[in-house]
Amino acid sequence: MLSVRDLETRFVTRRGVVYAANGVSFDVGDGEIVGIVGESGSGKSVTISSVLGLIRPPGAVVGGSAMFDGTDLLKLPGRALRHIRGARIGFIAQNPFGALNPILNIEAQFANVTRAHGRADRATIRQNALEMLKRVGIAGPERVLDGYAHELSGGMAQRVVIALALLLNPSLVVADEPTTALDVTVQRQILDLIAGLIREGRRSMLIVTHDLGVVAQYCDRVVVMYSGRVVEEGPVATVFTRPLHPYTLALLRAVPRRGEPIQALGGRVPDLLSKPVGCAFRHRCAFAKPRCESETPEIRPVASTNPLGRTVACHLDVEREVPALAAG
Amino acid sequence: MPLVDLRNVFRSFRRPDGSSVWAVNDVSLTVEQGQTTALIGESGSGKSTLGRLVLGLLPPDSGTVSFEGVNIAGLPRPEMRRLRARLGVVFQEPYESLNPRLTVGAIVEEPLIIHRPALTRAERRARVDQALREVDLDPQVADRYPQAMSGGQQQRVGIARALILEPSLVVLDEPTSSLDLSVRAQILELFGRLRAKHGLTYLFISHDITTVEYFSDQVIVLYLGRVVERGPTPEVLARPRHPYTQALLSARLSVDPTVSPPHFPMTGDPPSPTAFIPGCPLVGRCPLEVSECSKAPVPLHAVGVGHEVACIRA
Repeated sequence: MLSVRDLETRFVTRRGVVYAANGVSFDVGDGEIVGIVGESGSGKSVTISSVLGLIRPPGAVVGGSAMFDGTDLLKLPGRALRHIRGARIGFIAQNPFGALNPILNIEAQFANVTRAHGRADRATIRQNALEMLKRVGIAGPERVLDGYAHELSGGMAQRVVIALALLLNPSLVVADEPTTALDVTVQRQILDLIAGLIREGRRSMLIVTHDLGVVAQYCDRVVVMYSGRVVEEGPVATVFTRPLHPYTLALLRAVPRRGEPIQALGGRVPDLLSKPVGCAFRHRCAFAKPRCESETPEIRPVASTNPLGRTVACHLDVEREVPALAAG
Repeated sequence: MPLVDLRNVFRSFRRPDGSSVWAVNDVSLTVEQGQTTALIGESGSGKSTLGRLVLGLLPPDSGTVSFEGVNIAGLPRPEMRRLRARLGVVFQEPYESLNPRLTVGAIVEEPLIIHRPALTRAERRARVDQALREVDLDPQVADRYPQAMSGGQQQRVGIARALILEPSLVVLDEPTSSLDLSVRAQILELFGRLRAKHGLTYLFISHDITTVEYFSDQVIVLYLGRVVERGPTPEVLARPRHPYTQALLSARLSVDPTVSPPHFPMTGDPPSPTAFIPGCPLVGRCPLEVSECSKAPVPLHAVGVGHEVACIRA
């Protein structure tokens, strides 16, 4: 469905060049929900913005490819990319009120999305919009269509954004922290809704999140990012129960559990003002070796789990050393 | 005697359009010395307003807020000043709560200049150094400005400032919500260590039930400005009786993919904060709702030792 290879994205700032994505590669298969997880500065949001052509100067995608249905999204001119985005790739942003136009009523926004990709008369647009709003669980869709974004609660507004993202029946949906701005009891409803619509439509989804619980409960595969690189990737069921990169292990251990001492990961993420040489995690890694300083670990398949498609970027003998670290 | 005692506190805010928001609606609660009491709720639950009422930063419309048995409303100025020195606060956004024109050292020193005028400059300096060390910062950061620091380091500066006067009560208002997972764990570990070392009393305001479970002795669950359930944290989270507490718990997503999330019982969004609600605030979203629920406010009643719930179906 989507195959990203060696993506490199940089930003030119007053403080220097920020190396935000440094050779990011991953795949999203047909009907798969893939989560990109990482902390701030990991490059997870930059990665999807790059794929969707949303990077603006002073940022630029300087290398790599993103193949979607036989087309390299990174090589498409703006207009062609805009046509794919919206029609074949739906996008759900973190803040629904930033995604909706405050001065157009909701019906006009359905009309704009429809007309940007084809022709339709008013009655058809309204009919389709009403149907979509019902599918995202909005009671009284007529009133919502005639109203404006500011009249909606956060949860309702995000439901409208989801309806717009799915309106043209895209095969891939990209979501950037789609519930982070919402209340806890609303988050769960929205996640259930999105996952249900993706599964039922046999669509694929790429979801960016900092929430390990969202990945564990809603995703098939996970891409763990650190400092603009993928450090581990594979099926959630095995990555989260038997992490192989020391960073993945540390992240899972940083979740507080009552009655257990908290296992905080020391230090902080490096700034990205110089192109990282060696493993970016080495300063915080209990197992770092001299080699980790000089040589950037390439992402490689893990021998014994290869049928499961796990990969990891680490110089350690991860299958032997990291489980030992987890146990001890 | 509890350290903090709120009795029947009401507080509303007037909005520009003339409507009123009932931020805190008949809340009574206590904070016991040496314990960590968590206020948990979503946006609009009134948890941050309660924090400001406890700190004396906001007067109640009615009801009393007492600290060590003394009603803080209408305290004469010198007494209020002495009281303020015994209350510390750590905010959610470390950067926004630190003055960008002051160095880290000046920020941490400021409460000493105001409340400890007898100290010499050298004595203040020594206390600042010690406070920075206690939050695992190198005292050399005193010469730096907060904008040159990471979010986690900024939050440590905020904690050093909150603790410099050795307060009796520290209000932690979502202190880890804006931090990354690995930094959040570091800060929680630090709060735990400082609590053990100084016997601190925390009022911990949070929307995150995982952190509340890990960190608190007592929990008070708020919804639309009212207490819906409270009690010892292990008891309330093991046997939640209010449908809202149950919903908060089942909204939590385990990081273990082999554990499937429990059925989520609630529908809809919280209502507009300006709406007048005559009965239970959960009416319209509750799976157990009956017609009596919307008629009159539901008082808290005991369901276990120290465990109270405001629900006629519980």
